[in-house]
Amino acid sequence: MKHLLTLSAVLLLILLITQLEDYLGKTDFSRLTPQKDQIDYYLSDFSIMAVAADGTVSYEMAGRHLSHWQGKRQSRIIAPEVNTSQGFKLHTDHLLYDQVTREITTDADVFINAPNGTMQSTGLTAKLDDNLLRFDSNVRSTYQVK
Amino acid sequence: LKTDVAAPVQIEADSAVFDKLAGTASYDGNVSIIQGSLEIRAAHIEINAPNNEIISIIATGTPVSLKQKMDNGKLASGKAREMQYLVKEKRLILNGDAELLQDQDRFSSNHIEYLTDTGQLKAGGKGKAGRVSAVFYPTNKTAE
Repeated sequence: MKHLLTLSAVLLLILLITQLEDYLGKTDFSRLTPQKDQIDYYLSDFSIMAVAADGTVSYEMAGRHLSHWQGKRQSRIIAPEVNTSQGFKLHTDHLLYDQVTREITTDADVFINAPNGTMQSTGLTAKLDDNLLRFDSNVRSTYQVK
Repeated sequence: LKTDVAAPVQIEADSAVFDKLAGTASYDGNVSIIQGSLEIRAAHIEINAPNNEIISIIATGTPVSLKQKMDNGKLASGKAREMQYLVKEKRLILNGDAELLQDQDRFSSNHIEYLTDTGQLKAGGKGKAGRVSAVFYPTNKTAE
């Protein structure tokens, strides 16, 4: 239970890395006239690792595909898999990250393995600024008692 | 059963919300918690865990039901509109049409408190509605 309560903090860290403008250089909005549904960049078979100050990998997110819509400021990640140094592992069919509302959502089945248990549900909503994680339906969790 | 406390805890529900800032995890809709022989069913269960340390669990339902096999093989069960478990005190509090049964013995009141480590039980004390009813069946010795 303890680890699962920190999951929303982990998602907050992960979301900072998906703002890829920082890695790929700032986009000059003034020159852009983005169509709302125009994808401005893709990533395929990608893996992003965040390194902590002490040089250790704090988490890694891999995925088959990432599309980013500049106008809507949304990223859609196909087959994301998140592994953290705390032993968390999350995978699902797809995740949508909305930079405006700072929410991650999926309507697909979500599978989470933590050091002391597992959690699965259908649909997930993470409100990053509120540190709130909602498992939308079909919630099944098992906690190993230490 | 004694072994229940070491068994994995399985929680199922229609939905769940983890609120890191509030330090709560709440499960909603057809909630069931199973740990070994212990089974709790409720409409809503909230786990309070500030600083990730679980201090209390509150279940509500119409009713909340609980059952567990005792080490002597008998079945204990209980129901109430609200059940609270205070982890540090190991105190189970049943409020609202509360009833505890062990085998055929039955205890009912509007308010029951049970200390899970000492087995001490306190009931009533909440005005007229707090009347206590207890039915104990003598253990009939079989004819020698």
